[in-house]
Amino acid sequence: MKIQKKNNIFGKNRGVISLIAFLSLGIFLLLGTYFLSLGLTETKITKSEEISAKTYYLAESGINEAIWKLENDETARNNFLNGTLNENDGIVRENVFGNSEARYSVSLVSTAEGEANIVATSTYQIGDGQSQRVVKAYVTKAIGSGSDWDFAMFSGIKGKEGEGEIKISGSGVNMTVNDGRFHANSDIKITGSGGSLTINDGGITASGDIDVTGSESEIILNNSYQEESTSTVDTAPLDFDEWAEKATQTYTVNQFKNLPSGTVLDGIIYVDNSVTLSDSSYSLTINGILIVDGSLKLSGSEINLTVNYDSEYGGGLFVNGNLNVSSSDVNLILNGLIYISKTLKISGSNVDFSSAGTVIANDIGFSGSNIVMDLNYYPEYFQDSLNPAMNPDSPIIWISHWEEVY
Amino acid sequence: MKKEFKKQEGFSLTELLVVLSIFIIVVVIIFSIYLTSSKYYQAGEDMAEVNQNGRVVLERMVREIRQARELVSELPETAGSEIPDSSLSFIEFEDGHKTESYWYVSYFKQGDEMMREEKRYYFPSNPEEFLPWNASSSEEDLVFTIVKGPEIIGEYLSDVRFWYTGCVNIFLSLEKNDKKTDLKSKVFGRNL
Repeated sequence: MKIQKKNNIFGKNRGVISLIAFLSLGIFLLLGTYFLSLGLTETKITKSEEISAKTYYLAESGINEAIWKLENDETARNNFLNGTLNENDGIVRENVFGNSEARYSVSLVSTAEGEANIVATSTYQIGDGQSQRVVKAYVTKAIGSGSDWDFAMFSGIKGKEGEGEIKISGSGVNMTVNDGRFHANSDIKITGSGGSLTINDGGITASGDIDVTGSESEIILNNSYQEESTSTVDTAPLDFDEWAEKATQTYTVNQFKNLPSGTVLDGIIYVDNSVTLSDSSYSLTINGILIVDGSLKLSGSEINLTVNYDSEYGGGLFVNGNLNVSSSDVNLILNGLIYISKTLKISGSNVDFSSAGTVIANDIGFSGSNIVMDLNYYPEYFQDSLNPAMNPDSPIIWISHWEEVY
Repeated sequence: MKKEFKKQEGFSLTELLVVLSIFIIVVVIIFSIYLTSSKYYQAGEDMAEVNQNGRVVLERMVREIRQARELVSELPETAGSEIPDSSLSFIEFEDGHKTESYWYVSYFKQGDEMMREEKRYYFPSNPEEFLPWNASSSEEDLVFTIVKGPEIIGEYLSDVRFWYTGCVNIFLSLEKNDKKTDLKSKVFGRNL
């Protein structure tokens, strides 16, 4: 009986084969539809990418035309420099590149003197719909020049967040500034005890207040002046990408950290990320420029870091972040353009810091004890670098921010 | 045993023909759907590749032209929005990224590939001293040496055009297996 039942499966259930066949075919059909859908989706994505790229480059064209206008159109240029760009300075282009479906409009909005936001909106008409892209750029121009820069130490960089303050809270901080200005775009506060700030043949200025509240601390002016509540001063941000291109030697963080004590490097030295020098009794000499594309921290004791000006490469220390000296018995000889895009902080003790050139940071704080600083204004060592690159034909407009909005 | 065979009923010719016909029709449909979807997929892949090549070529050129120190190629200037007939299919300029002067970069189309090369100019009598591209001497002609390249930076180029409207205008046309795209952009040379 069991065998009979088995053999009669099809016989007793007529139409089962059709059912199975239809089910199988249904599954195949589903698979086929899936493949078709996949292919169609792929095509749609690709088409979307294609039109998206076209629209993006259209918006880029608008940004570039706007920058050209700021350079070459006298009215727009003056408005840019005076901080009075308005809707009349905007650009509207139809039929771009001879394509009637392509258009862009660009608005230029001043945020300060020599600073503006450019917003380019491009559209591509596709049938009844359209593709749109918005690209934003922040442009700024150094209103002054390296030859006008008269600061030995400066706090507060245009276009960067921060207070632009110089705060001396450590005890026994003795600073001497020769031939240049000591300036903060915010306040200068001396709250530490037993310190002195001596200005020889220069000046001390602050856009905020100058307060000396530390016991037995003082400001000594020799043939110098003191002014408070001055107007803020701008400097163009350094373009680290451009400086990376100029590097003669590039190091990863590990390669740089593993350089033996006593190493002397010549040229424009670029380190690609934040680095901490933690070895004690370590010395490093750069004849040229040291660029750290990140923060630089000196945490080892008895570190000697020397940067010498070189007639071929220039001189300086460019840190795209913070420079933090937290250890003791550190000796820093930094000549040229010392540029710290964020905070220059010395919290260690017994630190000797001497500089010939200029020191620029967005915020400055000395909280360590027994710090001796000898700051000498020496324009020959930084003018080329600050003006703004090493060659006189370097760009005068800096694009520090690109943003794409979908 | 005989009884058992008798009870097994086979399929009629009609049944078989119907099932086979349906099966063949559906298989043909599915196969054609598969072929079509494969075609679409391949077309998508081709288009993506064309787009990717276009973007790579354009980005690289834009980055270098933006920082170029000087244009060597005399790009035709136009105020209109159309691509001028006299637009060039190559561009040469002085590299602005190197600290050293007189490095020249050129981009040109070779076959369906976009090529890039770096060159330096000198007088044969003094190959150690590199000079600007337009240096002249009454005694000898300036020659150049290809220091790097030509290297391929992109494929599937069917047309490349350069012209000038205050900015350097770039037109790229790319094609692979009938899949075609055009990319156009302007770049402002900071130092030009």
